[in-house]
Amino acid sequence: MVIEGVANEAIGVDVAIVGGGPAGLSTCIELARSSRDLKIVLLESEEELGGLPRSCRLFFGMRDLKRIYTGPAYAKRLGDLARSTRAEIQTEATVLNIKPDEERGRHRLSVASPSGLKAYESRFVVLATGCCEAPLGTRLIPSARPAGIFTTWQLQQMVHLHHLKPGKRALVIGSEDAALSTVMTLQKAKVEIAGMVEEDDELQTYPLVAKALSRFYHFPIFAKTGIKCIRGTDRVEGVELSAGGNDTGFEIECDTVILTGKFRPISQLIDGTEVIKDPRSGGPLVNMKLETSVSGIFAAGNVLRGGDMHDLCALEGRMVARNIVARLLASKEEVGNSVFLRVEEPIRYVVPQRIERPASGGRRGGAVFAQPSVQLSHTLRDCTIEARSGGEKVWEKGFGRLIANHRVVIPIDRFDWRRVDFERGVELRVRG
Amino acid sequence: MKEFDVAIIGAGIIGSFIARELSRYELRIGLFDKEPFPGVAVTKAGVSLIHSPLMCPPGTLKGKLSMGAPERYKKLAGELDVPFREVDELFVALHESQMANLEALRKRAKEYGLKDCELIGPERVRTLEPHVSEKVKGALYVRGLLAVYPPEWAFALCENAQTNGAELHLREKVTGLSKKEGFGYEVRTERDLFSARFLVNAAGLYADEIAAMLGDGDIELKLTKGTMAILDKSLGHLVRHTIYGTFSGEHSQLVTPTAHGNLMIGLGRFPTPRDKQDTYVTRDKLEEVIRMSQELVPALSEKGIIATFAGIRSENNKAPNGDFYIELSEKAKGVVHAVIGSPGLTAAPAVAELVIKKLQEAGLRLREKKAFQKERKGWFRFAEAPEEARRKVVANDLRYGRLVCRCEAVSEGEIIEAIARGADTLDSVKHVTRAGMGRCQGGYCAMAVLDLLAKERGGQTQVTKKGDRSSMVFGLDPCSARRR
Repeated sequence: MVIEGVANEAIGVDVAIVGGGPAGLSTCIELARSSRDLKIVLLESEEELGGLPRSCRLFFGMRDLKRIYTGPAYAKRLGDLARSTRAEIQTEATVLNIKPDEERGRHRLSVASPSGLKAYESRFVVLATGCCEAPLGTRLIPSARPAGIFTTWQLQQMVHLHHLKPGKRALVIGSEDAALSTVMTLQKAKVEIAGMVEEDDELQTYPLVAKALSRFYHFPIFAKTGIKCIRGTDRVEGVELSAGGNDTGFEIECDTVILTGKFRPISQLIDGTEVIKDPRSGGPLVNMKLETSVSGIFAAGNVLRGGDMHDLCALEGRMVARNIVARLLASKEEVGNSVFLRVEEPIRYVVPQRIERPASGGRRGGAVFAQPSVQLSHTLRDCTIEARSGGEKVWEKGFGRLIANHRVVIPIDRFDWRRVDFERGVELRVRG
Repeated sequence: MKEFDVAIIGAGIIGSFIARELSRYELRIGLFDKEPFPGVAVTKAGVSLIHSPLMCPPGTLKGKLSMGAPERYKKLAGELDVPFREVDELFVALHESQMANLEALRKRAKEYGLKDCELIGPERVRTLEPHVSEKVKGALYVRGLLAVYPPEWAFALCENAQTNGAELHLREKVTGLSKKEGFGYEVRTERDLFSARFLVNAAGLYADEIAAMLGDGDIELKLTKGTMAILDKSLGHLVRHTIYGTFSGEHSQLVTPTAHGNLMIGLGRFPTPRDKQDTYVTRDKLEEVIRMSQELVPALSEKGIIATFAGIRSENNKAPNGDFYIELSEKAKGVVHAVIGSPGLTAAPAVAELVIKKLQEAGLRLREKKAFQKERKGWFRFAEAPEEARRKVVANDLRYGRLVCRCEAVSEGEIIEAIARGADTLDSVKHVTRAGMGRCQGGYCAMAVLDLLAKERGGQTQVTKKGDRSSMVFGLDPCSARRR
C-alpha cells in the first residue's frame, strides 16, 4: 500500500547505478568493496541480473574475473557477487527519468517497478544501460516487414532463455563479432545456416575464426554483397542479394533473417537533460574519469559506445567505482588541463571524448583514467591513425589490420603535448 | 444461417466508423475483415493525419467530406477515449516560383471557408519552425488539425460498436456474395455462411473484387504506393507542424509529428505497386523520401530512422480526378459501394454518414436504440498518465509497474489488457499499446510480449506477427526441450 504524500518523498542514496549488466554490476561490487558505509542502489529493468551475457554462450570473464565462464555462468557470478554486498538490488525496476541537479549535488531518479513508483535522490549516478542492435528500419533494408526477422539478442533470448527454435533456415546479416555468436546459437537450435552476408570487402571480425566456422558448419560467406530486399509478406521467404558491388543479383532461400551488430547505446535517459550526448557515439560525452558533462553523473560500458566486449565494460564499471570513491575522499577536485578529441570517418567515435594531459604516474588523487579508444566503422588494412591539433601532427601509428568495432587504444602519453592546441582540440583521423 | 440487417465488408477506418454509427440503431450488424485486427491494412499505412481539405479540389466529394473533420474527431476522442495530437499545417514554398501555388491554395481555403488560415512570410515560418530550410519563401499556415494513430481509432470504434451489439468477424475473408431470393444476400466467408439484407462494400483495396462479386465488375482501382519513415522521438522537437512541400497526385513531400511524438517523413514519388500486397519499401524510394524531407528540414538525418513502411493508395475509375465513389449499386439492390482513397482517414466520419444516408435511400429503416452507449473506455496508459495516476494504478495492480517495453514505457498490465480485448498477434498488441514501437523496435520486449500472447494462444508456436501465415517461432529448440 502506498501512503499518499510519503511516497512522493525521495529515498536518499549515495550512488544509484542504472543497469545490472557487466558494467553496472562491476561498479556495484567494486564500490561495496571499497567502502562499507556507502548507500548504493542498483536498478535493473529485466527480471534477472546479468544483462546480455545471460543469453550468450561464448567465452566470458577473461579480463575482469580472470577465468573463463559461459555467458549465463558469468552473469550469475557477477549477480551473486553484487547480491552478496550491502547494496540494495532492484530488478524489474525501470528508471523513467533522471533529473540532474548539479547545484544541490543530488540527482533525482524516478523508478517504476511492480512494488510501486519510487524516487531516489543520489549524489552519484552511474549510467550503465548498455546497448541494443540496430533494428530493421534503422538499417534501411527493403522489406514488407514479415515475421522471421530477428536481432542477435532476440534470437539468443528465444533460444537460450525461452528454448524456442526461430525457423528452419537462417541468413545472417553482418559479420561483426556478434555474427559469430549468432552462428553458434543457430547451430545449437539446429537451424540451418544459409550464409553470412557482409556489405564491405572485409569481414568485420577475426577473419580466421569466421572462415573456420564457415567450413566447420558448412555455410557460405558472402563478402562485398549488398542486400537488395528481404522477400515475403507474412513470413520471410528469401533474401535478394547483389554480389560484388554490381547489379548481378542472386537469391538465398530462407525463412529467417538474423540482423547482427550495428550496436547503438541505450541512452534515452539523458535525452532532454543537461547531460551532453556525443552525436557520433550516441552515448553521453565523458572525460577520462568517465564522468559526463554533469558533475556526479558517470557512465560505463556499452552505453558509451554501442557494442564492445563485456569484460572491458566490466573494467570500466570498476574504474567508475574507484573514481567515485576518490571523489568522496578528495578534499577538492583537481581539474586538469583538458582538451576535446574529435574524429572523422572511418573512425566511428572516440571515448572518452575529453582528455587530460597525462601527469606522471597516470593516477591522480586515487582516480583512475580511462585511456581514450576509437572504434572503426569498417575493417581496414595497412593504415595509419594520426592525431593532429591546430594543423600540426602530434602523434601517429601504423597498423597492419584494424578490425571494425574492435577497440583501438590511443596512447595519449605518446602525444607531443607541446604542440597540442588546447583551444582547438585534437583530431584523430585515418590515413590510407 | 446467421442473419444480419447490414453486413459491412472491411474493418478499416471506414467500415469501423460505419459499424459504430449504425450501432446507434436497432440493427443486427456484422463487420467482416480478412485481417486479424481492425485498421491494420491500408488504414494504418498512411500519413495518419486529419488534414484540411486543401489538397482536394473544391467541388469534389472528397473535399466536401473532409470539411470539419478535426472537430468531428475531437468530439469522438472524448467519447471513445482515444488519443490525438493537435498539429497545424504549413504548406511551404522553397522557391519563388512556388509562391503562386500558395496563393492558389489560399483561394481554395477561402472557397472551403477555412477561417484559421493565412499566408505568412519567411521570418514567421522560421519562428514557427526554426529548423525549416533557410530557403523558405513563405507558407500557408492552416490551424486546428490533428495527428492520430488510425488502428487505435478503428479498434475503439469496433469495440464501441460491439458494446452496442455489432458483431466483429476478424480473420474472415469474404469469399462470395450472392443474391438471395427476394431481398438480401448470402455472405460466404472462409469459415462460415451468413445472410444480410444490406451490404456495405468498404473493402479498401479490395473494393473492386467485392463489387465484382455483386456484378459491378466495372469498378476498377488504380494503385499507387507511398513510402514513409518514422524517426526517433529524440528528434521529435525538430518539427512541430505538418510541413508540406510540393504535392500532387503523383508525389508528396511531407514532414510531420505523429500522434505519439515521433516524426514521420514521406511519401516521395508514387510508383505503381506490383499488386495489392506489394507494401515493400525499396531503397531508392527511401533515399528519395529522405532527400525530399531534408529539402524541407535539413537537420533531419537518416540516422534517426527507426522504422520504414509503405502504403498503397487507390483511385477509382468511376469518379473523375481521384474522387470518392460512394453510391448505391445499380445492379445489386441494397448495396452501397464506399470506394474511397486519400484522404480516407480524414473523411471517414463524413463518409460513414453518407453511407448511412444511402442505405436509408435503399430502404434501410433506422430506429434509434434507447440503450445506445456512446462511451467506450480505453485503458490506463502508463506513458501518458500523470505521476499521481501512475502511483494509484500501480499500487492496485503491480503489473502496471512492470515495464515490458522500455522505449515507450508500456507496462505488462496494458499488454494483458490489450490481449484480453482481442489483440492476438504481436503487431496487433503493438498497434494498440505501442510495445515495440520505440527505438529498439521490440529488440527487448518482443519475446516478453510473445510469452504473454502464448498464454492466451496456447503456446509460443501459435503466436504470429500479423496473422495466420506469419508465425514467430518454428517450434521448441530440440536440445533444451529434451533437457526440460
